[in-house]
Amino acid sequence: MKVLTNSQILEEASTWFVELSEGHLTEKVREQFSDWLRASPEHVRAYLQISALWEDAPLLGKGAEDAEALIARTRAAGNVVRVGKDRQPLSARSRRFVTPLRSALAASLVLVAIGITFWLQQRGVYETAIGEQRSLTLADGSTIELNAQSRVRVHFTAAERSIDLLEGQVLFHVTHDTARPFVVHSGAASVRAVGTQFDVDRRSGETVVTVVEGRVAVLPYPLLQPASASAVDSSAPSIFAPDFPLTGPGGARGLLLTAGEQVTLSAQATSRPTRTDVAAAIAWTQRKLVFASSPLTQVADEYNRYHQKRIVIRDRRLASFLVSGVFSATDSRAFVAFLRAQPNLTVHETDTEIEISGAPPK
Amino acid sequence: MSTETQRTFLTDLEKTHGRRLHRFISSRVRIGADVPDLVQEVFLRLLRVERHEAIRNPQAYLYTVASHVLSQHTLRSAATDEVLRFSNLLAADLRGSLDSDPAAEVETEQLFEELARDLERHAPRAYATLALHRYHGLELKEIAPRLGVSYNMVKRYLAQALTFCQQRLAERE
Repeated sequence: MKVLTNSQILEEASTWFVELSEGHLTEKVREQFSDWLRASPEHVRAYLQISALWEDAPLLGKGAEDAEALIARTRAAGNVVRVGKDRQPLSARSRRFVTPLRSALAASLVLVAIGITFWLQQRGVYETAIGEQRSLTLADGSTIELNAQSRVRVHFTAAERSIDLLEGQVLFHVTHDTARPFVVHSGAASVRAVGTQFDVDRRSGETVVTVVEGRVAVLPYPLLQPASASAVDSSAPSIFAPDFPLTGPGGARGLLLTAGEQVTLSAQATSRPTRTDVAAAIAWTQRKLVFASSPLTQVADEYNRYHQKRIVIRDRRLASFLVSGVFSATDSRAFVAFLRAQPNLTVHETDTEIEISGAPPK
Repeated sequence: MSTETQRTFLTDLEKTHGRRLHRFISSRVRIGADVPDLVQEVFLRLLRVERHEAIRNPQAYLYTVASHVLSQHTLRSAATDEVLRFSNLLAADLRGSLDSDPAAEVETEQLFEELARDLERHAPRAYATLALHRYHGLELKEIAPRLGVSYNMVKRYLAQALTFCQQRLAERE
């Protein structure tokens, strides 16, 4: 099984590794590293990966010219070089005239860059790319698992633990804290919990909520921040208390869901809660795709979360083609072989996409 | 094996095979389905240790914890009540990895030669920093003025080089 580590995490791990191997760390910085390491198993994984690489890294210089030649060549190439997303602050020519002022300027640019990175972290946005999954431990001890191609913004205050699901699918394991409800905002819907486990999948135009454990309140309208802090002090009403408002603007009704129930919400409508196979709903955490009479278009969407080479369906006749089965999310060959084996499908694979259409008429 | 013997075993292992042990731990992290278990367990143990204990030298602490987790899976020990999820194969594996394997070393060298070329094409300064530091043995503080950039910039080049190489390695596997 291929486990791709999120590139943001790898960057963080590399930066920590360099800082730590350079030494002279204050206790505060060591504490920050310890916190970073404890935030997620993915951080531990990335850090161990980078340290393995470090041990082998001398091999990277082998066969190269001597140090002086390497320095000379690198400096000569300086004016055409771009490293990653960084701007080269100085050209090769101007570097010959480095002044204290310029050094100060360069140093302040670095500070600005650090500031921006810090600010991005502060905003609490976490994302995963195609084929990447990531789990995070939040400040309150709750954990969130992000499926591939997902994005959340975490915003904790003294009164509320708020998460915006901007895109994709997340499994939440919420720690119990009645004084500080945990609210997930996804499109037109809000999901409110105290301590429980549930999955929220934001797809094109709709949100699917599945409760794994405990109970949550699902509100088919955006829940505003608590009107005043006093409303959520120590005597905060439980969301399950009869006086908790489950009626929103225009009389829209909220629902209480219990373990094993699932509901689909869009701006127009809210489905009735149905019993569902919870294991199948969170099978993605095991990198499995589970379908039970799912439309091929939805199957393609799921598949495309994991693979650069996308499945494309232009043939409208296939909207009613249903798929059932369990697939490995990362094994594209087996999946494509399954599709090819269907007598009424035609699979056309190019370098960039896999197009599926109905079989040509006989 | 008693806990005491096990500890001694680990210390010895660390002393004689530090690098290889680190690499071995990390390679277990890179491959296979048993891997999430290992990382999860190391992670959970990190959470259990007292903060002050861990932060005196967090890096060394991480390795100590990882070694312990591995050894408890690896060495069948009457003294531990750990559930053994790994097979004996792993023990053989560990020994195998600690002995040198010429064929594997040649393969690793070729892989890293290729990686070096990729990195140099993508980010020459990051490559130069990594090679000067890890192969030629120059300190980062010496490299900075030679490349005409600040010390902080050199640290960033180095981090970029590591990130790039790890991404490439992961894509290959």
